[in-house]
Amino acid sequence: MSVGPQFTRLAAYAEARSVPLSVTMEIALACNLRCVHCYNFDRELSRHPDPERGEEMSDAEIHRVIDEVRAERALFLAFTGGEPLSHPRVEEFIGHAAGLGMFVRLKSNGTLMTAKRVRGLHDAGLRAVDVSVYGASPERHDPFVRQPGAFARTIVGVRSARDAGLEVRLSFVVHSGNVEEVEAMAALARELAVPCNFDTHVTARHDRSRSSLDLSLDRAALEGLFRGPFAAVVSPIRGRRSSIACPCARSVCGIGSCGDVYPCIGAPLPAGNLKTKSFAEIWRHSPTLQWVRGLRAEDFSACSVCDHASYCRRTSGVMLNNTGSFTGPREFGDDLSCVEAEVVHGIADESIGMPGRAAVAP
Amino acid sequence: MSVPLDDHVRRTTKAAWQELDGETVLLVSAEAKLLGLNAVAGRIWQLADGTRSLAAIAETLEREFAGGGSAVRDDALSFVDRLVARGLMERCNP
Repeated sequence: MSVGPQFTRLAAYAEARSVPLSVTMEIALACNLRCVHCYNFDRELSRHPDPERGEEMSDAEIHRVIDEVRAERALFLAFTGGEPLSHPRVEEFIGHAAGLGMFVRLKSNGTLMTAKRVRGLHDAGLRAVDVSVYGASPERHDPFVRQPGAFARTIVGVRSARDAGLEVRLSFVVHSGNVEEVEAMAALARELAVPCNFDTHVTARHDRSRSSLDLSLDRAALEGLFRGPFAAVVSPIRGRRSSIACPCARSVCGIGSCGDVYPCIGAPLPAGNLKTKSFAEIWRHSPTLQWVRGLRAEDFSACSVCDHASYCRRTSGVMLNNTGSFTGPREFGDDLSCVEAEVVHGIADESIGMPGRAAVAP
Repeated sequence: MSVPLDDHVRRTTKAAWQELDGETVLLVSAEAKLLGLNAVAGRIWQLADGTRSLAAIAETLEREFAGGGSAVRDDALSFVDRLVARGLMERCNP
């Protein structure tokens, strides 16, 4: 959904006053698929490998947290996982949140969205669903999620959700194994009559394993993308240099399945746990969140002096997972985001007749 | 068709909403619209939780916005009718 400048003003208002306008909550890490790149934990394993990891939130705790984020003026609430539709009480959570006035979204793999289930979700108050797809065909998608037939069920789910009146968006993670299918994936979205977004940033996992990074794009692949299907987005990001920080902990917040509060769901920097403290207490007083809110451009030491900052799509979540530093990278080139920014900047300069800079370090 | 004064009304989930610094903001996703309500409209939205009749809502508004005279009541009834027509409010049993 795009509501243009009105939403931009609302987001700016929330950021300026630290209103958690948009909250993403994991309701369980269980998933019916085993995606190769999964950022939660290595799905080769039968369970999360951290022996210190606490119990996941109970149904009652999830309901309490829904009330608490609303009381702090959340407007958007996304349920994620794992696969949120694997949770047997997800319809209750949706109904609760929507009844309080929140715009409720799911982040799903779509395989469990039968027409009947989607009607129930819609009636409960669900308004939108982001569906992850990893290729334009079962031959590419199913091995990646390690389940035969998943692609077909996902596409049925997308059609069902769309036909039920939900706002549907396809989320494509572009990696070394599907990069040549980007145009086909865009065509698939057009055929399904739903918008899509592409993410070129594969991350290390929240369990700190890094084999997912083996899927990262290389410089040649990025060159091909931004000279080809992504050529339309080769442009500077307005105000990027003066605002390197994301909306993390300002208007955005993440909640892990065990109750940990994060600056955003992609940045697992624990700021407090909802089993022992209220959301308001953590959101307002956590030193971690206050530190994030206090970050200025100069605190991002490599980025603030980087020649490519205006073309960079770094997020602090990606940096935290990949480099170990929320304000990372420590040096230019520590993360693929640096390479991407350099490539995009070089192509942009070529388009206005400046010498190429693909091999020039800042 | 106008909503009878004795009927109770409540917000539906077709609009998400939030009150920010005294202004009620409605997000109507199906229409891709973000609406800022004025003070009277925002108060109607808050009161329409299904526990009050339309008459009770109108009386509350007349009391709280006394300077507005009968126009407040007329505007309120018209506003509720329009929201019901758009599916953003619905009649309900108490």
